[in-house]
Amino acid sequence: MKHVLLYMFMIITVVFMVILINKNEETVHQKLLSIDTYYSFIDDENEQMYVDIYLSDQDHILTSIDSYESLEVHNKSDKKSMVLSLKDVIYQHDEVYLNETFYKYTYIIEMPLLGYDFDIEDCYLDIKLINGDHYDIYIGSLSLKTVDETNENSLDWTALSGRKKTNTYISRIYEIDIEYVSIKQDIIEISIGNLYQITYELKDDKITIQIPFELKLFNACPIIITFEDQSISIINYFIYMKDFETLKQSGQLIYHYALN
Amino acid sequence: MLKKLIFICMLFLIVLISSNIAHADSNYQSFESLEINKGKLLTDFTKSEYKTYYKKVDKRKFMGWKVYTVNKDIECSYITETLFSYYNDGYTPIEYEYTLDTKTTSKLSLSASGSIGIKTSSTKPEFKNNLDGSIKLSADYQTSEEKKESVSVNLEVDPGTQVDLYIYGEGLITNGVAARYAFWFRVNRGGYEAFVVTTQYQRLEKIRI
Repeated sequence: MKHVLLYMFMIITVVFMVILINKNEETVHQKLLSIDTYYSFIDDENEQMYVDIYLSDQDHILTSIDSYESLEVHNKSDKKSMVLSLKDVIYQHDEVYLNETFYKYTYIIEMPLLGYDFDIEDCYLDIKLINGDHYDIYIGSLSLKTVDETNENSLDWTALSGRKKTNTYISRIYEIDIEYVSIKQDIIEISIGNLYQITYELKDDKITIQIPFELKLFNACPIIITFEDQSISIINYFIYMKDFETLKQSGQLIYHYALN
Repeated sequence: MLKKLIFICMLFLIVLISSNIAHADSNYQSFESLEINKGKLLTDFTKSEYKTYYKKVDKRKFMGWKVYTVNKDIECSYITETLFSYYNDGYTPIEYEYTLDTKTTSKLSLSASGSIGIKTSSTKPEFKNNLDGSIKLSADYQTSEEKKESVSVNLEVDPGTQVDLYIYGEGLITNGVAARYAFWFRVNRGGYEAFVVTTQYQRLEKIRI
């Protein structure tokens, strides 16, 4: 009888220890990171929007386009919003941040044709999934600019490139160069979207656009050039640079979300 | 019995020594240009430099790699090949839309000299015999594979005009020498180098031909 009691005591002790160990086991939470970014696009037919997110799990449901029920951008007060149509979710690359690997994905979104300017300074992306999950993530600011491009070709450009400010690491364009052969009319305005007031100078057959610094990522945009005769030239959305250590360099611009 | 044992040991060592004598060239070596501000690339190491560096890894050990890092995380700038080139040889302008959706690239490239090998069959470049683990490369050198890119270029190309998209940028390079030992026998020795892209710039050019 004593032996039976001893065995039972040992079994209960082992079971109790296993329960305790399991309880103390660290639960791995899947994460989504977004970075405060300036997104600028032209409001035109067949245009696409690109929005980046980082996921800690490559197999998460958010990586599959079939999981999405709806997508919407809105401002903080929800007074301004726009429903979007998701075309694809593509994998870009992985980065290590705080000893954890994150996978960068880009939402390719078909833009509705608005016919008017649409800007959100504090922009959130509202994601509803078919399994009922709901995420509302801060993405930065968004500018959709409506422009009627004219047929007059006042600018004959030959090269397009952009760069960061020397000795800065944040993924942000500081200057854009447009090299050209000829300009038929004087330029009266250059725009890279409604939320930035840029400056520019013409020198040695090159237009250099200076973008004011703001603690926000910015690596791609369209360029809209208005000439003295009111003709407009558009240089389409172009990705000027791509950083592979964006998370490491972005620090306080990163927003953290726990995934279900 | 003793003869058989010695024979088996010798056979084992021959197999170890004869394997992994493979050289691999990484794609960063085929860049149009690669400039570093300080230090030296592995391809520029002289025989006398190798001799000096090898002394650091020649002290025999029972098992595993001995590594000596010569240059760590040196900054470099590079210009790669043309990403795409399109020529309109017609008589009317063409609305050209280009999307890179099949290109597979890696931000990490490796190269080696001597008898240090690189696994080229895998989609992720790795040094053979787990040298990567011994080098202790920083997290920046995390392998990254891009299945697709969201590079989309949409522009009007005039007749007789060629459009070229170039890539240039900045990266980090770490190199040095390493030797691997098995039962105090040296089985591999050579130089290693890892290159990782940190920033990639794109330049679009239109040329009249």
